[in-house]
Amino acid sequence: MRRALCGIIALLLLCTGCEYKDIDRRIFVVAIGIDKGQEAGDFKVSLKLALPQGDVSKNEEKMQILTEESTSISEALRRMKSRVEKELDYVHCKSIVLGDGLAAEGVGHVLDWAVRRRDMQLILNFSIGRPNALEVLQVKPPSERIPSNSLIMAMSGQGTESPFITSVYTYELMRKLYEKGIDPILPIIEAQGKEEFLIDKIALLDKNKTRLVLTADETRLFNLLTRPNLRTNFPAYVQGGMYQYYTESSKSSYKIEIQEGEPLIRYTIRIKGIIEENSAQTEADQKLLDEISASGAEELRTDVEAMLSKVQKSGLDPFGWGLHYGARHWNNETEMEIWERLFPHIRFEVDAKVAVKYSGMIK
Amino acid sequence: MTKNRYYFWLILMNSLINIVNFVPRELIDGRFTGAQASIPLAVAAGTLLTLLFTAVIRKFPGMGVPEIFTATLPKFTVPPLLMVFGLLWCIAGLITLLSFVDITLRFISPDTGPLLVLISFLAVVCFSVRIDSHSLLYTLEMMLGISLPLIVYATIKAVMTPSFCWDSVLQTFTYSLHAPNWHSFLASTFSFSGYINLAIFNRVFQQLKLKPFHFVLVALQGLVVLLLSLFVPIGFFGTAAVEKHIYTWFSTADSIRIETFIIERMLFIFYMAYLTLSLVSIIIHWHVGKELLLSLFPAPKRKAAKARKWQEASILAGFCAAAVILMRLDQYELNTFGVIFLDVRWYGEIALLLLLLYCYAVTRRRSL
Amino acid sequence: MVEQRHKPGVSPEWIQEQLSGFADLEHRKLQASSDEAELLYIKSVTDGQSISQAVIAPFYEMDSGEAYGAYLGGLPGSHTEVDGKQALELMLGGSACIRSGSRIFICELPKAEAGAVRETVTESVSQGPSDALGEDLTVNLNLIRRRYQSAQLKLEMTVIGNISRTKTAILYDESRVDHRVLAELKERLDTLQIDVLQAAGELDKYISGDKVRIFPKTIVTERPDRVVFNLAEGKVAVMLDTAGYAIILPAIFNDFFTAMDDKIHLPVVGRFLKLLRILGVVLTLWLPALYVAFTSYNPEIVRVQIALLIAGSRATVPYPSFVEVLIMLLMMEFLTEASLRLPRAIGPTATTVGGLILGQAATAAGLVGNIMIILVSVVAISNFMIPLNMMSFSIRVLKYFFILAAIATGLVGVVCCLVGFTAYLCSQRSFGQPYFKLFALESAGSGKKGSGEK
Repeated sequence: MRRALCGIIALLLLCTGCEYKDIDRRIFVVAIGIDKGQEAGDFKVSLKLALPQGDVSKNEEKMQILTEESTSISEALRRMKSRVEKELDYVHCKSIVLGDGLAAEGVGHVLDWAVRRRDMQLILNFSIGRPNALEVLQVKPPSERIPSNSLIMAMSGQGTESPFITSVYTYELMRKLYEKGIDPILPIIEAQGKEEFLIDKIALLDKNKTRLVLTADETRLFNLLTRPNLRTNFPAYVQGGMYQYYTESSKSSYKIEIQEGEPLIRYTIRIKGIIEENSAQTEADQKLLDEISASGAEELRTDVEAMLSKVQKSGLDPFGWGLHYGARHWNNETEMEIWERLFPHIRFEVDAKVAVKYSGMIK
Repeated sequence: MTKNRYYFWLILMNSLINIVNFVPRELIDGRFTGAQASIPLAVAAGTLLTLLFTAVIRKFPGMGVPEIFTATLPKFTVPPLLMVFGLLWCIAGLITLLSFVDITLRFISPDTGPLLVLISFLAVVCFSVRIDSHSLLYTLEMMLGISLPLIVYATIKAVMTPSFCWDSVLQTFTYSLHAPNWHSFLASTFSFSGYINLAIFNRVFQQLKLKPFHFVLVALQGLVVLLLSLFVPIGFFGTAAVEKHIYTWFSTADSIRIETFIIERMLFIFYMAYLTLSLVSIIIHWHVGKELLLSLFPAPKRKAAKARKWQEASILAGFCAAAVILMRLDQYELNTFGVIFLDVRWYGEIALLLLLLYCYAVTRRRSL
Repeated sequence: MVEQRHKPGVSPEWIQEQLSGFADLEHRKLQASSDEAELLYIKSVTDGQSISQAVIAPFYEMDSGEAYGAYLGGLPGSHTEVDGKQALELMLGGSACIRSGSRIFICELPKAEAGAVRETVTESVSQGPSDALGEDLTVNLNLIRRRYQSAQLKLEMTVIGNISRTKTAILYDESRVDHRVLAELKERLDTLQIDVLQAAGELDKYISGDKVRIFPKTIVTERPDRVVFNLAEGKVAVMLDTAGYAIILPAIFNDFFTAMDDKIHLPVVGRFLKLLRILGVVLTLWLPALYVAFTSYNPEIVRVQIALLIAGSRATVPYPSFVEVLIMLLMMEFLTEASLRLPRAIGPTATTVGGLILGQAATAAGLVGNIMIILVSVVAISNFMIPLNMMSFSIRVLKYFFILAAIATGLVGVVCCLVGFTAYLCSQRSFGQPYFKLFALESAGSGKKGSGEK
């Protein structure tokens, strides 16, 4: 028995040689950019490769970008294999950037590819690159030490907590792409020169391609409605003075009500804030705080209602109202058809309450 | 005197391992056609079976099924029966083994050869199967001690994920009114069939004292595990895209991100937890299968320990050969194989229960 | 001189009966021309020289029993009015019981071996007794008896080794010991046929039975307090003359992770220390194997930032990761072994030269990665957190199995190896006791152990 065991171990050790590939013989792809090719139907695939540096104490980043055009994504990747000396490894790929042009044509193909491949994570960030994916990949902020780290940090919320950034993981995109009653969104990354990018917009997609792009302000409102405790600032105007309050905590929820056959979506927003900026430089007192709260709530209400109507007019449902409606109705066969008929007639009612509690460090 | 808790571990192991054995597959396929309604039914049926089986086998303290059969049934019926049940257990282990090899190749080492993975699994399993039943229970407890916290952590983390879509879960829940579905029901009862391992492990349980509370616990854990296996993937992939994944739960684990650890992807933690659990489950199933088949051979005389070793080795060689041959199944065949087994297993359990009831009746009549 | 009115029952015979099974009990009859006296004492705790000078010699010098009795009554530390319980306590504490005529005296003549006792070397504790078992059996017995003053502590003597004729003492607490373990031990000792026995660890090898062993099944210790602690838990201690160590059996896996200062510390601190030790074992076993798995098979597991860091540190290394790991680990083993053999004065030199210069130079030359050096240090340090050397050596060997598994199939191999070893550990029995169990901690320490599961 012991001899047999030794034999098995020896056999296992002998078998290894072929699959054994050290970390320094792999080259990690940290981001993939996919654009439309020159010819119709072609893909222009760009890879951002992270080159490990020997001396950690040196504060410089090495990266390389490969670009290849082909009729399919897989083909382009295979071709790029023969352009580097090490094995391309996609397991650490953290983001896929779709070119603006490609996203306008359809994201289904790329998503299917990304989910189907076994070495791709389901938690990589999908985004749209402007003007195209390649230029986004080429951005190299000076503060960056690990290639593409800035992109990873920005999208994961571990670094900056910008209220304008929404991140979308593969599995979320996939869920929203196939689910009835909810439509996918994608963040837009704009390359500004070689050293800077700007992420402050989201694109709303129907089941396949981009249909509407929200402005930065709308994106912030969108984030306010979809996630709790958004850290941002909103304006309020009292007696000609402009005030900005910082949201310490925020909460929002909605209810779908059918009133006399007319659908009504009632949003409730609760914000606690602190005054951050005061253009009049007046001394704040309880009354002023109350006024700022009231004015801020009113300001917020009109903005949110405008944004919601804009989204509704486009016929898209990024908030998942349809799913919400379906989840609360038991007539499974007919609920979605009913909802589709109701959708254009939705009215919105926003109940925003802002409570500015502090005037900051000074009165 | 082995404690009651080991009995519970056996059930819990089977319950948790369902994720590997295509149970979520069946449940998710039936999510619009009555899987939800099947779950409470399966919980009731499973708990009832557990209760009955335990009650019967308790009447034979310290005896395994082979001993009970040989003591009560006519001589010529015993070998074929043991043979059939032995094979059933062998297949139970095989399915876990094969699907886990497949999962490993898909998620962990796409570059490693399938044979190499299979051999390393088989080496551990064959080594451990030969250990006595007592020690296996200790091993099981130890492994559960390692993997259960990880699994619980992964599940909690999954449900707490901000983008977990409760609306999708609720949407699926609104399909609960559909009449139960037979396939989903059979698959769900798998979560409870851990008790069946008592067929051999009853040898080491001397005084199995079970209170009603214990059965409530069995029912409760089954219900929780089944609901989680159905609804957590739906929360991640939605009601529609969920059926696109082959190993739904591992894809779900791949979707969970750990923000503050050197390992970022939950997949690997989940995988390690399930690898240990699956190996132990294979070991336990094959141990039962081996013991059942071993009792086909005439009991060796005192000196013939060597012969016993050879018999063990040949049975295990058979199991391994089956595993290597079945490695050729492709994804769909393996799936079908697993689903067919889930059905056959149910009838096998009922048959074993009826046989034991009959044995009990015979012994009662004899003693009167 | 006090007139004797002994309570019925206290007599040398009665004491002898109470202390039956004491192989170190000495019973002498002194006979002069007219007088007779009886002498009873426990050799290992009484001072033989004082007995001969203060008790035996005067007996022959005095003319009559009367005078001898008077002399004994006047000896400092002599008792006459005692009941049975006190008498036993005195005897175990190092007294001689003398019957002269009809009178009975119990004289305190304790042996103090303080001068000859070494300090602990291999198992040091921070705040606790530092006596160590010596190489003289009677001294050792004295050390134990002084800490375990109970009439239930029995001692059996036997001789092992055809040539070495090593005196072997078997100690156990009659009321707590598992008699099946005791019987099994005696049977194994009786059937033992060897020529030379010189060390306690050697005996452990002979009596545990199975051929292939990776884990120790008996505790080899130099601490008398550990022996006493385990005796109270119902275990058996075997002590050899000239060995300097005692072995305790049966030992289960958990016993090897109990340091004697766990009891000294506050409960929370004690638990924390135990947790640290378990963590240490996990690290020392898994780190090198995981390093191989992560760098060569599954770089996807760790975060991208860490993966790049590892890749960067390995950029100059010209061979695969497992060669790197093996080279560094072997280097570390050499260092450990070398500093063990060196005279104590030069020991630190070897460590400094090896650790500092080799580590620094190796990374500077690009032969091993920086991360590797950190890893090896962690492995080396955490390995020595295990309080008992036997186990610490086992773990040292064991980690190579994990590395081999990692070389073969990466992470899968490591996990398989873990399952395999757990199954192996669970299948082991130490004299009928399950060797490895979850929740074994609770049952230990609560005084009497359950008498084995079967």
